[in-house]
Amino acid sequence: MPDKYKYLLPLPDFETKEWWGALRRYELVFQRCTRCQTFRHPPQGTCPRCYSEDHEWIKVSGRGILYSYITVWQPVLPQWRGDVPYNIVQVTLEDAPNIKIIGNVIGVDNSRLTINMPLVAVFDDVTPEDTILRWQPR
Amino acid sequence: MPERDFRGKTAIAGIGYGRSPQAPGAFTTNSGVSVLTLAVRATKEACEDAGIDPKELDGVVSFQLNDSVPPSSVLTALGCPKINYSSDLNGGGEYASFAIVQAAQAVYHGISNYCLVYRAMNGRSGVRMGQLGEGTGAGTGRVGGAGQFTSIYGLAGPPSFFAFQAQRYMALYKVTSLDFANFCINRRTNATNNPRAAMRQPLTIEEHQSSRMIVHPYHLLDCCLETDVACAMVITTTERVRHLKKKTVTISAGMGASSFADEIIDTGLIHIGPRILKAAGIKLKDIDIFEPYDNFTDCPMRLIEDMGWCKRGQAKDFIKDGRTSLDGELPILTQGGLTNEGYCHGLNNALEAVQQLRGEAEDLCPDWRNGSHTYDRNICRQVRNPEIALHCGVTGGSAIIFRRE
Repeated sequence: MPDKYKYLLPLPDFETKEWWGALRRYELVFQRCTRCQTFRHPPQGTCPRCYSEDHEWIKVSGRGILYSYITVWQPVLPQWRGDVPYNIVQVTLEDAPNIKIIGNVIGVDNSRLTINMPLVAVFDDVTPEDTILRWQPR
Repeated sequence: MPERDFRGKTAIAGIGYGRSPQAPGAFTTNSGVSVLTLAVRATKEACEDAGIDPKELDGVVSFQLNDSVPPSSVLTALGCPKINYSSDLNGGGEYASFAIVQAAQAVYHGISNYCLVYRAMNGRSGVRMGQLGEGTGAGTGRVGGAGQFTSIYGLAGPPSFFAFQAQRYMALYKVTSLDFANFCINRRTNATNNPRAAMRQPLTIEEHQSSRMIVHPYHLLDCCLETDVACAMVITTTERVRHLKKKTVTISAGMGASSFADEIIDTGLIHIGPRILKAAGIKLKDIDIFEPYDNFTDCPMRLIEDMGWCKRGQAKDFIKDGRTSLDGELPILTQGGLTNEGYCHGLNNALEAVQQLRGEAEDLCPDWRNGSHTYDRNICRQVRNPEIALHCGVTGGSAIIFRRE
């Protein structure tokens, strides 16, 4: 781990702190509606399908599929300027296929990224207080 | 109330661009004036075009992303004595058609007699759209809200948001960057005779391919411009427009704004397309020109497909053989679009549709202002006698059909 993490860190709020807390335990969890069992992400107060406010946090396997990807050559955010080109991906979850989640794939050359590539979640402790979700090929 | 009752009851009284001696074509990289001044310039020109006193304006609609002025301030700056309708839409390109639809609704329902629609922005020298989603957490190094799931991975700016759609589209339907280059060349050809356009040199495949990568798969020349500009349109009843200066271009139908599909390739035109044709009482083949929102190259290609001119993934072939050129069966982006003319958040593509339907495309023909065109494609970009135009907002979030009487 570098001495100082130079990228942006999350600022969890009352709706997202469960999600970030789970990552600290190396668990990937998503909100699931207790009434109609629909998964949702990012965390929000109501179910997009049945509007219920009741939900539970369900741990998923961490197996994902690459839905789409980009490689950034000219970043808007200055912290990433030294890292070009870097990838950003959208991943769908095997256990919750209606969810698309943003991340990075590590441990693979950008030219090897392909849509539908199988991925698995990686928990990256970037500071003593912060664990970030990333992905690697499986 | 059934949608068909709305058909043809409202019309475009006038259109205007925020021009100055320094920026005769309206689009510039550094206007040197306030957004309010740009808005007033465009509104004045639209009222001159209509032949009405700006003080007759009594309604206003605009859209913005905290980069413009409150709509009522424009009418106040023009000394308009009464404001009967004012709407400040918080959003971007999804409102490019809808802002006009809303003004037409205000007129249709008798709330406003002359309703202004404008978009004004110092989009290059002031607040830049390209920086959207920066979310830097106010110097804390932390970011909340949506950014805690996006900017922490270095995701910010429209090219990166849209490149996900492009990448998936290209991979699933075997569309290549060379296909993008072909689309860009067609569109640039229309810009060459547009005095307003920032990009007017004919384009080659090599130039497109060698332009620097912004966010793969987007090269620089796949991205629309950032410009300082204002565009304005005045809407009133069709009855009144018949007594004004210009040819009557009516609003047949319009709807939106915005929805998001599970499949990120899909655009709003999948839903809006059939409904707007029905509301306008026309068939797809009746549309003479198409002015889609072209923020990035794949976007108008997918809009062509979702409107039904061809199947998903086939726009790359549809645009060949001049089919979408000025003399083709479906001229598209007749002034070069947001990528070549400049970026007024999509409203400029709607003004272009009105110019074309009036037969007053601003080009290099000596007497274009009087609707006299040569159709010599070295100087002229007027389509031959178009009657019906379709304009739409970003990824088909809203759409409008204009029709010349």
